[in-house]
Amino acid sequence: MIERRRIRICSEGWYYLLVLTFMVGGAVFRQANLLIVLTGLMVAPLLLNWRLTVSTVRRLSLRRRLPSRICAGEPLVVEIELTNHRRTLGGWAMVAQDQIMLEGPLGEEFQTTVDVVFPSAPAGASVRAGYRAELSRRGRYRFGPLTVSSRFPFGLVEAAVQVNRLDEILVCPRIGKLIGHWQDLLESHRDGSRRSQRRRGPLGGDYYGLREFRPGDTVRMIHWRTSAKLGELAVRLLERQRNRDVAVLLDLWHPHEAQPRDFDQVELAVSFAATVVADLCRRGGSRLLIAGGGLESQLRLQPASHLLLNEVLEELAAVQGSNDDRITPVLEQLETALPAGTRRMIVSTRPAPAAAPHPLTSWFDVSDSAELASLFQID
Amino acid sequence: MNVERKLQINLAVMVALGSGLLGVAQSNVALPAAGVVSALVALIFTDIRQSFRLNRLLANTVALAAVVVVLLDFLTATDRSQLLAIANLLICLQIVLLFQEKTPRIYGHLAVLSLLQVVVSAALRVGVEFGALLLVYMVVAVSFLALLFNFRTVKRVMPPRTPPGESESPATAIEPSVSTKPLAILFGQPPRAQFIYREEEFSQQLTGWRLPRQIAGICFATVLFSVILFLSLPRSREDSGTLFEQSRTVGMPTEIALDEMHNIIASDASVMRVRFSDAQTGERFEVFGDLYLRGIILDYYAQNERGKYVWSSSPDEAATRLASPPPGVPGVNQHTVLQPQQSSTLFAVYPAYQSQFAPDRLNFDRNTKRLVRVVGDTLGPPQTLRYTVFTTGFQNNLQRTVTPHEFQTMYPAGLDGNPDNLTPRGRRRLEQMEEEFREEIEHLAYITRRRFPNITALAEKIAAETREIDPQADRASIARALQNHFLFSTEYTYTLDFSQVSRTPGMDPIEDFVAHNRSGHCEYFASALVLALRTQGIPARMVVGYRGGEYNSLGNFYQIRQNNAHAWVEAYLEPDQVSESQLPAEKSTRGAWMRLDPTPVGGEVVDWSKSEGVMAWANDAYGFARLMWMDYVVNMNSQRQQDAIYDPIASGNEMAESLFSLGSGESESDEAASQGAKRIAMVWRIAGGLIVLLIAVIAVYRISRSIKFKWRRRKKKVEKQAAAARRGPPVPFYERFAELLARHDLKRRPSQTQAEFASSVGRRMTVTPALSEVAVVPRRVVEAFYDVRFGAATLSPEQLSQIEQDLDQLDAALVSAQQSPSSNPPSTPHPRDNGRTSTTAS
Repeated sequence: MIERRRIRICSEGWYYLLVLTFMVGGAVFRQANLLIVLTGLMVAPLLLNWRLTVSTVRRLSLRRRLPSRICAGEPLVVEIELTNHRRTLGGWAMVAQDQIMLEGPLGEEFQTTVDVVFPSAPAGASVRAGYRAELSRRGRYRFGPLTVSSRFPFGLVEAAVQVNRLDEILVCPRIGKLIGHWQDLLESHRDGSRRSQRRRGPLGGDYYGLREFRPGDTVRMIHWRTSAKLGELAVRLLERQRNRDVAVLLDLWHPHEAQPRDFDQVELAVSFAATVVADLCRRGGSRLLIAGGGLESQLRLQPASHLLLNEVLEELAAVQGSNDDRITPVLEQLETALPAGTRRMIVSTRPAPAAAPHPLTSWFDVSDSAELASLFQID
Repeated sequence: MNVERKLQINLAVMVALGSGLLGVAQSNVALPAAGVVSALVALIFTDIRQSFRLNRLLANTVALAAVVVVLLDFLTATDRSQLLAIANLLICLQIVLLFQEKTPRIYGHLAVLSLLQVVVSAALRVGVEFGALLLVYMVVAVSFLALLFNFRTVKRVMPPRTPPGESESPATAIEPSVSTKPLAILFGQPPRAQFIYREEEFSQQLTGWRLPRQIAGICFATVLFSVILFLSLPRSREDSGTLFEQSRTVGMPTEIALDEMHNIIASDASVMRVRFSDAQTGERFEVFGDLYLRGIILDYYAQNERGKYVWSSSPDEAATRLASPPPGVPGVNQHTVLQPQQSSTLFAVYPAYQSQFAPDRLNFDRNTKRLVRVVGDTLGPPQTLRYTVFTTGFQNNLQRTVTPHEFQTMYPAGLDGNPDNLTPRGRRRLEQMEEEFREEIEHLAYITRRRFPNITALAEKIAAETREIDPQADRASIARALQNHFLFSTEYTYTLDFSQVSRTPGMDPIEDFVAHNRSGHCEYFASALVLALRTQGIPARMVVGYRGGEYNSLGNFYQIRQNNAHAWVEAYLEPDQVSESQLPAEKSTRGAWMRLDPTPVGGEVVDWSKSEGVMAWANDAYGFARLMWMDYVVNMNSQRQQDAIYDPIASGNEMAESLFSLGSGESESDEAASQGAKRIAMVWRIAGGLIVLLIAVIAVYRISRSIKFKWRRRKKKVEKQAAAARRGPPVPFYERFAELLARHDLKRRPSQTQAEFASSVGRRMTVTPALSEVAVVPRRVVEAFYDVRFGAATLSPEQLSQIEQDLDQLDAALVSAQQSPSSNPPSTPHPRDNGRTSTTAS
């Protein structure tokens, strides 16, 4: 941990010093006694301010609490705990300044600072304060370094100490809502599926496992035999039947000299793709393959689950657009890798080519606002 | 009340105080008064009700105009007037700023202007009232600075206010769209963060009750620091240490025209402070009765070329050094601090001699019979003068009414010694002075009786009456009878209000006073008596000086003011008319002067030494504060600093000795040193006591905090030990069990018992295929643990071995489950598990 202490005179302090300088000049050169009195009355607060600020930032410790991962646009609350380890001197009006910066080349653009004020921190006590952050851009953000400063009590002098330990948070793509037409799209595909329907259990799924009874569970789910063996209630876990295989393919193309709007289109495509994957994983029962857009995932179908969703979101948090055509090679590879009947959903930043590459392919052009608006909404 | 409102109120008070200080300092109070009123009006209408705010352009224009106008004044004025021009400019700018919308910058500018006003006031005004107001101002200014800091802190974390009617994001979404927000805002917005707080609670925390306590502590430390700095900062100048010398001087002219003095007499301006001490013991000398401080002698009464009736003194002569007192004569030292005077006259209780212990450079004008400053002191601007004279003018703590003639006090050696010892030149000089003395006495008895028929008739009548009563009545008896006539007669009234008094045109005012309009002030009474005495062949003269004064019991001094100015009469007594009891100190070889005061009391003099009660005490305290302020603040110069600060510090032992011997009644041989040491000792004792008290308070506070801290730590330690004792010795197999599960993120929550934890873990293992076989292990281990911990059972080696085997199996199963992709080990997600913590320490 690297610390850096800094003491500086604030802008108010410079005004104060200016007046004080005139007064000291008069007091010294003219030896006017009342000016000496006034000088003393002005110097004392300045010295007090300096001593108090320097003392205030000593022997402090800070803790930052934040989640490891959120989605863009989700409210983020970061808590900072300040502990005053001094035995006698309390601290007042201390300001902890935290820095938030997107890692990567866009860091200069996507960064901010936030001030958190601790009105008081009694000696030997801990106090907490927090801030609410909004991260609209996906990616990995770095939090820190934290700077604790004090200008107490007059704001003439500031003493600050910087703590260089950093924290990170992964901001996944923004998840939106799939609306009306999306459901029709899925249903139409299901009707056309050539895979046989497996038998479902009486409650709409296959037996998967057991767990303890929780309030809200229906009585019909209780597995009585196991409950008798354990001496407490256990319920069955059912897995919904897998009913489709879907390959979600990303085409994050943008022109060579891209404009900000082009990058926004890339972001929109990522967000839409993340929303599709989240929806499919929430529905469950299908197998998914996510590829394209520079993703390094294996070209094999995996069961749609929360685990998969987490992995995909983490990967989508880092994907970048390109002016290369990266979707064509992926499509060619998938021709042999995907089982027959696998639905292909291509989320692209450009219109679909004249001839669709596969009969089961749906091409979502995010630059077509009208079409996308019928499927997708985002807050 | 939020922080800004408190700040605004504080600002109004500070601005009003600053303007008030400036108003006190300068004679023209119109603009400062406008500043005070503006502060209050702006607080109500601009800050609170927000009904009036000055447009910035208009404000700048007005400010610029004010600058131009004041600059013109400044260029045409000099010195003090220039400073007043600056003061007025400060007030104008302040008024303009007061009516603008307040921002932190405006608050700062107003504070700087107010501070500059105080600086200007300090250059213009040096009274103790300024010091008192300065202390109040300091408290207000310190609280303003603290509030401004808190206000800035609040502003720093508050989100910027969105003007009404403007939404946070522009409604430029293109329809149809996936969002109501443009994509640039959805995805391209930089991170935003906002401190979470409740404004009211936050403001309360910042400016609650702790703030006044902190301000009080800071003010105390500030004053202490200022006092130390002020006293210790070396001075090189020997003058008063004020930027502008006081233009107002006090005193009295050497020529008095009747009817022209009443305005000066009515002034309450301070003239001097007088303190008496026993010349031998150095102790305080208390004076009973009225105090008469003689100034000038007026012995010529005539009508001048402008038709005015004027009393004047003899022409000045080269002054000679004040004589030393007769050897072995007990006396009193008179210590005087005289305000700047235009004339060179000094005031003293007569007979006055050179002080033995603290000789001052004082002269005595032989012709005008007055004490004067040395020639060098009259050069340059008038300054406060300190001098000490020795006097034998007290008897039984009462001022004597009879004093020896100056001729005797000037040349005691020549008159009382053997004239044969004198040199021929000295003998000739003595003969010349003997002749002057006879001429003077003759002159003081001379009067043209027909010019004053009424006075002559009155004097004749009173003298005849006196001789009727006492045929042996001497000159003194007749003089006293004449004095009593004016003093006790109900025909005469004392007044300073001459608007209701009319004099008979063409008539001598004294004649008119005695015959027709018997109202007047002390000069009329004294003039009438002098002339009356002269009509009876008694040499007499008018004396002008000061009578009475306010006695300050705290500072042991008399405060003499201009309204204590007084005129009285001295009548000459021949040597054979003076008894030895009247002049025990000196032999009356050349006669003596008998003091006669014919003026009725009539409210002219208020003797505060006789007053008691709170008002008298307050008056004493005020006087003493003023004394300390003027002596140790305003007039602190290099000499005083050396005497009062450096020397006592350098001779620490002596100082300590003087501190502890104070009040013990020990006499000191050096009278002046004694008085100075006592005053210094008192100051140092107070300062030392305060410092000791402060150190003691801090020490007690720190010790109590330390004890409290250690006691808490000790208590926590004891509690920990007690808790450990309650838990008993650790059970190794259970420790291993807990550690093993913890490695796989299975931790017992504080709210769970061991059994509950085991049950929960067992259930989870049951539903996990890879762990179902070891699902019963937790329950077994915990049951064994309960037997050992709470059942005081001792497990057999076989049982322990079995448990260890179970734990091995459990460990292996958990490891295999973790490595298997299909079956993860059960986890007990802790509420905090989704949040990471980081610790940074400085």
